[in-house]
Amino acid sequence: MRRAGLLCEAWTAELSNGVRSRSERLRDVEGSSGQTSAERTALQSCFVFRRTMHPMNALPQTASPDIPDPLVIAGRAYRSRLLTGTGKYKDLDETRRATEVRKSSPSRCGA
Amino acid sequence: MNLGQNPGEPNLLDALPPDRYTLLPNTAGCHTADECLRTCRLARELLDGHALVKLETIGDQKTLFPDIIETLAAAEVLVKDGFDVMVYTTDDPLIARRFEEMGCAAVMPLAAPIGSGLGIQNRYTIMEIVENAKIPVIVDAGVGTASDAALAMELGCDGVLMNTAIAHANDPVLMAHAMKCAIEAGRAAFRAGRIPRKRYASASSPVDGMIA
Repeated sequence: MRRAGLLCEAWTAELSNGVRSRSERLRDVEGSSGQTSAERTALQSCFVFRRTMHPMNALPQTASPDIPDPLVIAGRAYRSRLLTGTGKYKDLDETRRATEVRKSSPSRCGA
Repeated sequence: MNLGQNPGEPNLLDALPPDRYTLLPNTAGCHTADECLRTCRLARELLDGHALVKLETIGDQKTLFPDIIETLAAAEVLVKDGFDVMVYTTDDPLIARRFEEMGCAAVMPLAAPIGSGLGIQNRYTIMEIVENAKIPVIVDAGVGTASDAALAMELGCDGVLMNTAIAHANDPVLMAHAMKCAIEAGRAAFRAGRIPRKRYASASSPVDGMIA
């Protein structure tokens, strides 16, 4: 894989093992005889947002009571403006620790 | 990779629990609109209706530049199909506007080729995209270090998406921290409003009351 992504590798594995019914349903919808290699490898990298505590329902940014200056995408407010991939890390623990860093408070950015 | 089907083994969903993080499926690796469409629909099936996707159609293996023709075709169908499409694109202001008019949820212009670490190569086109856009603009790809992320935010971008710059740093966790700080600093500087650039000096000390 060119851009190995943990979650998407997981999906590939799940496709071949655990969720046949979903895949079959999808093939029914698509009229496809099966997935191409491109499709199997397409979901290679995923990205994560820090999840919001309160869905915004398309309210403007200034209307968020709990999230100062949120990033609003498709009606949902996010605390973090940094979107990170899950691929290319040494292992899951490193993925977790690097992603978790974004949770720290702004004051943690002090030298 | 284990998503819970193998109890007792490391599980990605334990590392990044879905109740704390929003997962953004990505069509990286797709080269045609049809591949993107089927991949997004597959992701929606697997994630029980999750509609948010990153649309990325690779047009060239050397540069990994997006194939805009295929991306436009895919975006049009995905939006009509109810997806919230965050679209990876070149830093072309006219194309960015077209994606917005089509109903994309966010436009994500590249700073530089994926994984290159070159930083923002054309800040003026990024500024033009930001100035025109009513949907979020997220710089995607090409960030190398924290100052690149800070610059994107100072230009008025709404966010920055990255992987290699963090994951391939010598200390990924420390670089993630640096990126977080850069994003916050850049955003604060943008909101605060920078002083205009001038060609000549402007004294900080008052001249009134000086002893002759």
